[in-house]
Amino acid sequence: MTTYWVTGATGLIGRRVVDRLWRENKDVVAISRSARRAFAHLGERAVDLDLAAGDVAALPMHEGDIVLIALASRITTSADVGLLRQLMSVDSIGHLRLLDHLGDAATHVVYASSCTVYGWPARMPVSDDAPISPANVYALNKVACERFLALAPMSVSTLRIAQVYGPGASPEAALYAFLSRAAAGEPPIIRSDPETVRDYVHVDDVVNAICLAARSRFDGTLNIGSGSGVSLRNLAHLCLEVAGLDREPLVEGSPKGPRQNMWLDLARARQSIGYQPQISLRQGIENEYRRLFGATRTI
Amino acid sequence: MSSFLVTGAAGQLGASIVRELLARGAHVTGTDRVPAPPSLSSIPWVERDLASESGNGLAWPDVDTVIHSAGSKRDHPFRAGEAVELLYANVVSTAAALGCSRSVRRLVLISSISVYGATVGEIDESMSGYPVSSYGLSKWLAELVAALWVGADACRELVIIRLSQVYGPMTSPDNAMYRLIGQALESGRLDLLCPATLLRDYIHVEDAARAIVEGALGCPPGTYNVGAGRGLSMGEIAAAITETSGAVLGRFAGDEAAKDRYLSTALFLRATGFVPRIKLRDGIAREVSRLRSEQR
Repeated sequence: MTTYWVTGATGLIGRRVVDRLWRENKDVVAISRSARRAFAHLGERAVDLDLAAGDVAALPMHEGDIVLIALASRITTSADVGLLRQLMSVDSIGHLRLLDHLGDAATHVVYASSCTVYGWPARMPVSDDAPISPANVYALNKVACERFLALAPMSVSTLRIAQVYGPGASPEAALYAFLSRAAAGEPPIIRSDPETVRDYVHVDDVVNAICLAARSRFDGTLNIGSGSGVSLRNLAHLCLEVAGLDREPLVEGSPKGPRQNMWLDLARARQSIGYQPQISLRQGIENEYRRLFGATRTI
Repeated sequence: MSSFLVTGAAGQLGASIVRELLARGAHVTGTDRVPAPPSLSSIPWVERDLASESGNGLAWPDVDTVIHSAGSKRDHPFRAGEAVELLYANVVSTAAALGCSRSVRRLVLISSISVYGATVGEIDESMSGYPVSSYGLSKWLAELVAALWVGADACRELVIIRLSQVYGPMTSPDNAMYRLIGQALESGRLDLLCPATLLRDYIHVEDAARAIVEGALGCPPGTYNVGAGRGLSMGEIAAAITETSGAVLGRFAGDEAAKDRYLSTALFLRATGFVPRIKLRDGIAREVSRLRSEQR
């Protein structure tokens, strides 16, 4: 019998992964700093643990093998290397400590990495084999964990995930800033180069990818995104349309240096685990608008 | 002249770097997780473990150059627990060393041939690929930390020195050369499990320290290999050991699949004019006589 251990269980992705596995009648252990309150129905299978500082030896052990779904992370876009200890202690170091504790019981890992490991490649969409070039400490921590897991004896699905949105996402993301403005009847403000291309993937598609990777035990690296890139200008237009506002976005940003585009090529994920994003950006934005501001309007 | 902070200053390489800097009249602060060794009792010393403390908010001196030689040399097959130790000792410690002083303008990062992973033959700085050992990976990640630090401020300078295998006093007895010396001294005979033509790369710790001080003082920012400057054959290494120890040279047999691995050092030679001073035979002779007197 396989048990699925999920770290970062109360995060944007983790909460839904735990729910999905539980609904599928899987044996799931939810780990986060506040898992017990969030998953009371899991009883002892919900464990309050800070991966950075907590005692992994206190975790419950059980018969059978373990698939570790490693989602715990802290997010920053800073390049300040002073933050590295804090980031690593949760994610790369925290997960390796956990694996050290699990020993042979852990037979597969699904690791939530990030498209930021590529830095800002010139060529779009970015293939799974593009060189890595971390541009901030967050990406560096992801690279560290990816590469150490690649040396580990068990199979590891490393998922390089694009920008995730959906219920629970950070309201600071451009998408939510645009939506809030549009909902208030104001045109979104684009604060950087409006032709910058981004890859927004809905959290439900990411959850799907994680479950597919856990089930297939795919050993290697996969890009997980929406399958298409959207410019900030088009993103703003989508938000305006969904809000039923016939306005043009305000552009305050301008091109500075090379364009920082991100758009992932999903070829390998489609082939190897059958990943197929289901929620179009238009549909996803409509859902978010309805959730946050009530009914959508159409022009 | 600049003021220097040397991390890992009580270690094999760190202590040699400090001595080399002092010999050139530099102002040096040492730091290590252990107290200053008696030979370095005259310099300012901060006793702190960079791997476990952030170092922020402590009374570090203002320095403009950090020579980061602290770190773990553990080089075993992957174990998750050891990966954790290497991440703290070699990666987090690099960030902590940079956090010691706001005034740092130049970082000299001591890296290793092991970042080249499975690359074989004569290796130059442009070769890429992922490291294949936990140790190599930790050194490669430390280089990425340093690259982020230097990228954040145009006034900062980064010199990365990728050393071949360092030998000399304080080298681990697990090191291949020291296992051979041990065998020769104990049994009076030396048999090797590799072909005599196999090429490896060794540099004496005093030469390595001199190279690093060159890197700290004048050389243009960049990534440089530092080693013997050529492949050293196992036959030549074995001959030096037997000649200086009086042991009999036995046979070479075994791992025919082993591949040559040594560093091209042309770039560092062009940047600094550096060439090692201690010939392999002389370096080995010193070690043989030191180990023999320790045995007695």
